[in-house]
Amino acid sequence: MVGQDLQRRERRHKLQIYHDILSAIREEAMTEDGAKPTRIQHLANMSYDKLSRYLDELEAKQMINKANILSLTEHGHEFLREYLKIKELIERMGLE
Amino acid sequence: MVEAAPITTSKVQLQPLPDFDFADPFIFSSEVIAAILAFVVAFNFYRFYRLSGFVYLLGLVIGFSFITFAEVLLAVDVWLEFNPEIFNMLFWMRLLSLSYGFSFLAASYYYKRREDDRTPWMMRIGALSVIPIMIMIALVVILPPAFDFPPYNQVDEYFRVFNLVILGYVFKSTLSSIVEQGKKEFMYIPAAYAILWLGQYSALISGLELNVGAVIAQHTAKVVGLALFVGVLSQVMRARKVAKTETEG
Repeated sequence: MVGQDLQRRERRHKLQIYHDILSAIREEAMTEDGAKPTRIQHLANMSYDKLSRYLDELEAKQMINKANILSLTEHGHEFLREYLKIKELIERMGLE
Repeated sequence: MVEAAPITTSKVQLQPLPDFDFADPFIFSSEVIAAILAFVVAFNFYRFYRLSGFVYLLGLVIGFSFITFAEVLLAVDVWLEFNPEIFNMLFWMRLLSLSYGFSFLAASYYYKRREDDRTPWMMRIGALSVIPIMIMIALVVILPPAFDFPPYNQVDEYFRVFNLVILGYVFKSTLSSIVEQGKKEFMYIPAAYAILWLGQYSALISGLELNVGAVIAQHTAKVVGLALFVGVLSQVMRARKVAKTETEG
């Protein structure tokens, strides 16, 4: 029951988590050091294990390029541009 | 009550057709409009699926694609003036496509809170959509003695009841989600599913007792329900341009 609640809560925020991570990468990419995972972890406010899992997901969805320095792909930029529309669609469709 | 013109073939007794002047143009135009609307909905969901990568949105893409296909098949049937042999060939495809489409929609809602990218999600949504259809086919084809196909009307009724159950589940899922969010302005989608449910109910009634009211309600509800989806998608596409600027920094 608790596990289900946790899973439900995690799912509820997945879109938001994607947005937070991608926004952090975009922001950090403009700095001199580039987007390093430890810095993204701090900005996205999550554990390293959890961040690693989401970075793998985002890479599988072709939204980021993973190397020593993280960067957004064109798809990642497009996700950020359309984020609010995706969020609104999911809410309106009752898929929240 | 309207006079009906029953059509029979060697294998199945086809549904009696409405014998009123406007039936063919009305049904044909409503099927064409419904097919276009369902295609627009499927295409837009595909766009959102591609953007977000959330696999549960794919269930909606596939579901509305099957609904589009079912509407095209019925439009072809009407266009060919209910040619009995073609009707016989297409009616199974049409019934299966529509029910399969609704099953995929239900699978999306069933798995909406169970997405886990580490599991073969596509296999699960596929299985969940296939299993009920297999049960339906078993009930319709295998249970009758010696694989004797039951009459069209009876098969049609089984599938309509199946569709009503599936759409009822989807309606309940959307309604509870919207109520949970506390956003009354988002009630259009539960309303759209409710109208599609009414369309299937009218189809069931018109199959049991052919009358002009049920036929009109069946086709009108389908068009109105799908139009609501298009309306909501259109609202979402135009939404929050100010906020979009904010995300772009």
